Amino acid sequence: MKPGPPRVLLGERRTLLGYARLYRTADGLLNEELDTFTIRRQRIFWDDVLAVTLHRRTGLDGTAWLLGGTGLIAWFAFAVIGLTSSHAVLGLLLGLLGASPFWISAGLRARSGLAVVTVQGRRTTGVAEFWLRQRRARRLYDELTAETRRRQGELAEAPGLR
Amino acid sequence: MTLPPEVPTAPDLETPPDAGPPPGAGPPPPALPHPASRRCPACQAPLPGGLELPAAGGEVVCPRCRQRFTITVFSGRAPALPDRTALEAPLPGAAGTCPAHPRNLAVATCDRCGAFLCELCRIRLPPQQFCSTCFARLREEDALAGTPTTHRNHLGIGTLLLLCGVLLSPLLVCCGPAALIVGVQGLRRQRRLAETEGRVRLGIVVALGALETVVALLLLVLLLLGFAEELP
Repeated sequence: MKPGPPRVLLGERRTLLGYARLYRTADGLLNEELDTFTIRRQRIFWDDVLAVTLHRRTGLDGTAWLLGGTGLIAWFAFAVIGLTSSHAVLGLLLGLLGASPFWISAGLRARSGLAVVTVQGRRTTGVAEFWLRQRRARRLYDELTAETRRRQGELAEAPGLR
Repeated sequence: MTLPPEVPTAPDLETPPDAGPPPGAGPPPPALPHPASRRCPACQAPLPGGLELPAAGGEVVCPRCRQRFTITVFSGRAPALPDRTALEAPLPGAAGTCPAHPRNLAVATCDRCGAFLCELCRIRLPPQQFCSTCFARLREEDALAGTPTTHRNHLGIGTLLLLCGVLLSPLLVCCGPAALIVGVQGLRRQRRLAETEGRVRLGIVVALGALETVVALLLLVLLLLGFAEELP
């Protein structure tokens, strides 16, 4: 069996139980969806692409999870320090301080949202989300549209075909 | 994998529905499929037919969810068949016609059986191309690297088994070896498909699975020795 072509990761979308990743391969795109037990791979050939879109979404689900993590750590610190000593407020503050990466991330995420690039094929849809690298999303959108236009143009001009 | 378009009946095979205008009508316009074949990326609802979609890229507002998004649409057409003009006057050097569709020019040969293939019959799996019969047979034999779409997630299953072994210690005896086996299977599959991603993590799963197995065996031995000492 011949080895598969090399693939380049373009972006991914994470969910609670898995992720969906979008790769670029020699003949198109590869959408890989993973959960705990299975990996599903589907290709989107350049001539299959119907549309490429770029939009922003709030990403409230991720923000909610980050805030949940903040609350959990703060509550834990409050419970441990507050129950073992009389400094309950100090425990709460320490907990919030310890959870600072979570709530700072949640705030940033809620403010900036997510840039989402979607490639709609005839059978498969590939999605890549960008949070901190939103310019990368725009670049990816431009790259994908240019490449699809070029490949579909080549196909239309192939000898003997219309 | 490229499957042949679904145009089943023999007499109409030479003129697929999206083959463009009749010969001699000049170059085909940049025809775009109906907007309903695209969906809003936010709410996934099909875009209504009256909505103008920019082929050169532009902003659109979904009438259903009011989400604004940038979209570039493409024809997304499969390669069309040779037109009738080309069929009546075969291309110079053309080897023949497709045995399944006699009015179509053969544009390739199957890499397995050598049969002539028209554009409709050709299944491209770069760098190879097959006829539908050979493709089906090779796929049944799982001999094509690119055809299976669903795989077992060895890394996820192995990690879950390792966690179960640690958290539910009575299950260590079975979870450790199971994680080891799953990890080895994953490494084998990666080698077979020449993949490199996640190899280190699978290696860690194998190592931890082996460790859990050894610990489980030691615990079993200690347990048996304890029983043996208690025997009269």
